[in-house]
Amino acid sequence: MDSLIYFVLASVTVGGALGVVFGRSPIASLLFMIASLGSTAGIYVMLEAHFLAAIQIIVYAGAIMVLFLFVIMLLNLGHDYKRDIRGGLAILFAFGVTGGIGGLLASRVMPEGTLLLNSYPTGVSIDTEIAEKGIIGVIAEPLFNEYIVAFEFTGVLLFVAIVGALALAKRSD
Amino acid sequence: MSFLNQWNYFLALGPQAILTTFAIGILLFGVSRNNTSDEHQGWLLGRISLAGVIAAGIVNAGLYPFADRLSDGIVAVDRYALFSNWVLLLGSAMAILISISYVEKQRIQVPEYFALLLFATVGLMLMTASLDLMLVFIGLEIASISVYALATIDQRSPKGSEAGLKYFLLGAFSTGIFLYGVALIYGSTGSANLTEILNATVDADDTGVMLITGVIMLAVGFCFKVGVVPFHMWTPDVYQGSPMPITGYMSVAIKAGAFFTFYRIFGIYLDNIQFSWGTVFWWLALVTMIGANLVALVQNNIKRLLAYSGIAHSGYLLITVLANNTTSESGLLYYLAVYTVANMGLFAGFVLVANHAEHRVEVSDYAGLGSKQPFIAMALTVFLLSLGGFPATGGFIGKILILRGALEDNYLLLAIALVISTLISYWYYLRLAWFMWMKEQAATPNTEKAPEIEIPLALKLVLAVSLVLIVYAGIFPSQLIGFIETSLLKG
Amino acid sequence: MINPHLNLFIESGLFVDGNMNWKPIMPAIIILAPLIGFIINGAISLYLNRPNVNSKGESSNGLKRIVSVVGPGSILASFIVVGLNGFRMLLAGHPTTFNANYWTWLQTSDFQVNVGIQIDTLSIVMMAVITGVGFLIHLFSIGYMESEKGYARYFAYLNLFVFFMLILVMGSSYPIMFVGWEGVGLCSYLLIGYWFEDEEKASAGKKAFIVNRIGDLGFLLGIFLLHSALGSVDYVGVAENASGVFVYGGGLVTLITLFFLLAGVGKSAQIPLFVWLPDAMAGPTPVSALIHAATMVTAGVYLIVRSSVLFAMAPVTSALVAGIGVSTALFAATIACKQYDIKKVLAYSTISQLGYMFLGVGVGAYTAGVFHLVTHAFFKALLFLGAGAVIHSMHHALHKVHSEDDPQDMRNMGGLRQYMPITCFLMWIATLAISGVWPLSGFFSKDEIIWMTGSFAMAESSPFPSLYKIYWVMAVATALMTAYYMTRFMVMTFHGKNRTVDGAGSAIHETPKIMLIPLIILGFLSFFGGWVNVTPHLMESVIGGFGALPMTDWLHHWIEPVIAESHHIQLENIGETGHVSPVGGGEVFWAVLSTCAAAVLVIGTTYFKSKSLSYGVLGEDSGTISRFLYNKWYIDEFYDKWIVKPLGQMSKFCWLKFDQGFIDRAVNLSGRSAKGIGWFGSLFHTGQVNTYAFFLTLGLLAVLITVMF
Repeated sequence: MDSLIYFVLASVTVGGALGVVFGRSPIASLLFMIASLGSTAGIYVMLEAHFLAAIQIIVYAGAIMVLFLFVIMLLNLGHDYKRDIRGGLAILFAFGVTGGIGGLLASRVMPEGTLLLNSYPTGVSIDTEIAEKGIIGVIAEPLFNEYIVAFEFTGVLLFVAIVGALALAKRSD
Repeated sequence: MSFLNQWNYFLALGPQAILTTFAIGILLFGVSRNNTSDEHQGWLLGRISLAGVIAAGIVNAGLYPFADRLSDGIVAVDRYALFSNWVLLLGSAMAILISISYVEKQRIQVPEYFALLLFATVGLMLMTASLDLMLVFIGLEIASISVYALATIDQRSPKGSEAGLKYFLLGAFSTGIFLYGVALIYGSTGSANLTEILNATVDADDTGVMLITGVIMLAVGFCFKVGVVPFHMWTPDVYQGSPMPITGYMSVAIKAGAFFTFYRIFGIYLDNIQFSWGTVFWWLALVTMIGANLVALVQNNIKRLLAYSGIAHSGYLLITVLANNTTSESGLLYYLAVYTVANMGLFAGFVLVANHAEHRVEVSDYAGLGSKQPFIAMALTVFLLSLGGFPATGGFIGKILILRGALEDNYLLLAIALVISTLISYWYYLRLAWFMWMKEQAATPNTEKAPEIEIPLALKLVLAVSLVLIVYAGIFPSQLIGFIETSLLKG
Repeated sequence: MINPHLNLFIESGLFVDGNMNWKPIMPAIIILAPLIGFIINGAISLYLNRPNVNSKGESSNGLKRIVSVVGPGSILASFIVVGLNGFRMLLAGHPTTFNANYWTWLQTSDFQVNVGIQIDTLSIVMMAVITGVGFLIHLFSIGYMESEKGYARYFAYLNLFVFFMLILVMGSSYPIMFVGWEGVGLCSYLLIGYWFEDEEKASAGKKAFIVNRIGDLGFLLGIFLLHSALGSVDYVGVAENASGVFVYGGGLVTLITLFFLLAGVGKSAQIPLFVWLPDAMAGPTPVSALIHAATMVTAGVYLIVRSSVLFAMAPVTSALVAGIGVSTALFAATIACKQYDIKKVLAYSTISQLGYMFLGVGVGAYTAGVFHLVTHAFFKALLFLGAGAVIHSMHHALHKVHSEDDPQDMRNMGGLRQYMPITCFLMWIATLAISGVWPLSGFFSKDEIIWMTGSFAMAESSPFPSLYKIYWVMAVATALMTAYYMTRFMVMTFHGKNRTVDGAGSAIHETPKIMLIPLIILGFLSFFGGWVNVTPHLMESVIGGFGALPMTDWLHHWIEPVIAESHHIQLENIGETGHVSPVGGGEVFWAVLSTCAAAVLVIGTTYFKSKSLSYGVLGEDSGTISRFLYNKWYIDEFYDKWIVKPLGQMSKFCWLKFDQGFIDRAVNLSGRSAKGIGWFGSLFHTGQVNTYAFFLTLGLLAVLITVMF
């Protein structure tokens, strides 16, 4: 049963991603993307990462996609556009290469299972930690201790992105 | 000391913190003044940024007593990181000096420009000090996003916009590959922390395909950033389209920062599984050296020329990652230091010849420079010779160290390829010098007479300092080598 | 067993003989003086180049005078110090070596290079030639370059050249030699392209540059291999360790020497890398005299003599050295027979003489090689400077009558003796010297090389006896051809009827004094220069006036300590060289015979040529062989077709595929992309970013496949 659900979610994820690329209009692409992101959230749920799933829905499918939608509406991009995907051999090449990588990973990495090394996993089992601190605590604690630097500099990263975007958007005269 | 006390992170990342503060300060200053017509804003903010770099340098010097004593976190405060900070700070200081007249003349939004330049340096310095792949990623992205924006900051230049967009899209693409690699490594070793990865791979063998795939994707991400064939194709376009000081900064700082990190990750922490990436790097280095030098032979645009030259240098440096013994590590550090100085000096000259704009970027535009501007021409010639590895310049010493390192680990073929491609590279470096000294400016009616070049103080400084450093590093290299040998990761 | 002299100098690093300590005075001055000259002249040149200065004639004249003093003066200062030291060394009475390390240049875990100099008997000979002949040529240049635009720049380059050349010969290790090696190459490149208005001349510099890079490749690889094998790259260390590590005829030492040979072949313009030297004649004539005849091109010979220990242990390489040398000598001599450009004849003659030097060092006659190097420096410098004087006069004369004739073409000359008698006389001295006529310098040096080749072939256990016999025959043939083409050169230039355009002849004048003095000194040296090294056999025979002439066997003893070890190795493995020529006859017999043959050829050619030329007409060379030789065996065409063109196409191909193909196509090539680049590229001809991303992914796939399979 689990694997059935997994395969449904996974195919929606991949199919949605393809839909984004091949969508006839920006709006269609956007909706495909929401589907793709939503089913990713579903996979998170299956992994019992409920918090992450919720964040995924709220941030990506909710906030960011709505923003995209606004922008598309605002700029009146809703109509069909000229496809810039070339047909025939180009697609064949593109899919050949990507498919090659995918096939390589599937054929070589998957049979091996997930684990490479005996040392994994280290430390306490994640389940006991969740029981102790709750699922948010398990994410928050390393975030504000071990990874405080990464956290802070993610702030810088976002700030830089904003500054960059503003610099590009601002008309110089 | 340890990072259990989180304040120690501020100590450890002092230079980065200082630069961040200055960058934000510059932005605030720009907002408060809101006076874009001020002609001397460039000079003022340039000086402030320079002060920031100097302050960061002072903090960096002050960190030496703490070096190697903060060890258990995700940030390394070792002499290696401090050395790479020197190189990156030097590169950005020179970029700032080169930019001052340029931004004034091109009426670029000065506060954003300098702030992003500082942010880029922060990102690179963070990356080189990271002991965790997540932090490496964050640093890399800070630097990349800053540079994406800088590449296209001159909105009146369609080429710049194209370059920035191209860089952004492809950069995002490579970031995806990079991140996928990190995920696979995390998946197979259970950690993104380099020390733990090192421990986890002690007795790895070649059956760990997932780990290997991850490592290779990580490498491809880096190869994209430093421009290794066949992941280099964005480089000439982006170099050509970006504002000239930014091209210089990209060619120097991004490359240096990426290679410092590249070496730390692959040379040290993934050394256990060199069997997986060694062959690949061998081929990449070979193809990059030969291919880039051959293509550079027929370039006529100096920015494209320098792009291919930079790609070729990435090939040389890849050998040091591959050989990773103490000699080649010294070679890497020495080479990057010298390369930074020489390339930035070169771009200083380019900016002058282009008259702080994007004109006159063909090789033939340099005809007759030797008689019109002997000082610039002489400095440029020395920098070109250094890039080519001419004896008695710093570049020669760097090449010798790399060669020695390669031979110590029996990479004889690569060493020969390095020598051959160096000899090829002489051709196009000296072709430019040839135009400067041996050609008169063509007197065709439709070429306007080149304007008189005035050298601003800042650029005079860059040229003179670079000149002295390059020659000094070529004739008396032992002090710098001695200092580098105390900064090695491989003790 | 190591020669005791050598042993001593190795152990102490300083030759100590009893109570005699020899130390040079102010050795640094020798190198620094030209450098200071370069800096001063360079600064003046930079100053004069400023556009607003050009108009001020007076100040620039004053500065020009400074250049005229500083340029030659700095070399003279250097020469004086060299002379002082040489004299002191001579007084010390024993072969001595001095080593000084100034600072550590490079140090890694097991690789150390010191910046240091080594002054021994070999290097002091080279230094004397470089500074001595160099000074004379600088002096000549004052007159020759008088009216040229970049006067200061010219002297700056020339001083820089001498500086690097001195580093080349004075360095105490191979890497330091390499610094000089590259430096002289750079200066040569700059000076060949000195008259850059001319596109053809500019490309000549490029050719010289590329060919020399090939040689440098050999040098660098040789140094690194040497270090890997011996752990040392300074001469003392190499000499110390070589016999312990290498075996006679071993593969490693052969490989190293082959790399060094490649370096030497490039620098000294031997087959197959000689093509650059004739083209290098595009530079000013004094430059040809100094760089492309007297000093830089002999660096390859110096390198081999310096590495004599290694070459002595590699009989195969040595045979190759000799073979390349003698083939080049013969080959270049045939070409020289049919050239009409006055400098081209001398260029091929230089290549031919360099071939002799290679032959000498290839048969283990290192002293003979150096000896010929020295005498050749004298007479070839004289020939070039004399030719320069002729060109100078011709140029002015033709200019006066507004003629477009080529002032370097001997077909436009003839009968110049009446206008330039002194130059003609001096040139004849040089011609007789190079032709090997007794008792001029070239006779002794060339004779010794040929003799040594013959006796090497007849040695007890000569490695390739029949091969060396062939070499001997070729060397003799070349000697005769040399006499022919040099006499042809003289006759066409100075004798017969004057063929300059009407009125120009009378405008030709004797060389100005400042240019004549160096010629006279060189004439003196060309005449007597060979007397320093006459083997005792010859000295006591008719050739040495039965001991009456002040001839000595000095150079042999002088150079001996540097090459003692190699002689020792040779003696051990090959045995005594036979004191007989391959076809019988002793040394004196052949010496007398060869000088008679040369003299007969010179006289005969003079007689017949001047007779045929006295009608003022030159028949066109229509024979197949003539055309073949005139076109230099079509070697340039051969290289162009099989190497230059394919390489250019490859570079273009890479460019189109990796650069234009993907990047600029949308802008430049979209219209014709289908036929221009092919169907594959055309698939991607609009979206460039997509294309890049595609190739990025393709690269990733390739890399993954490499790893996984």
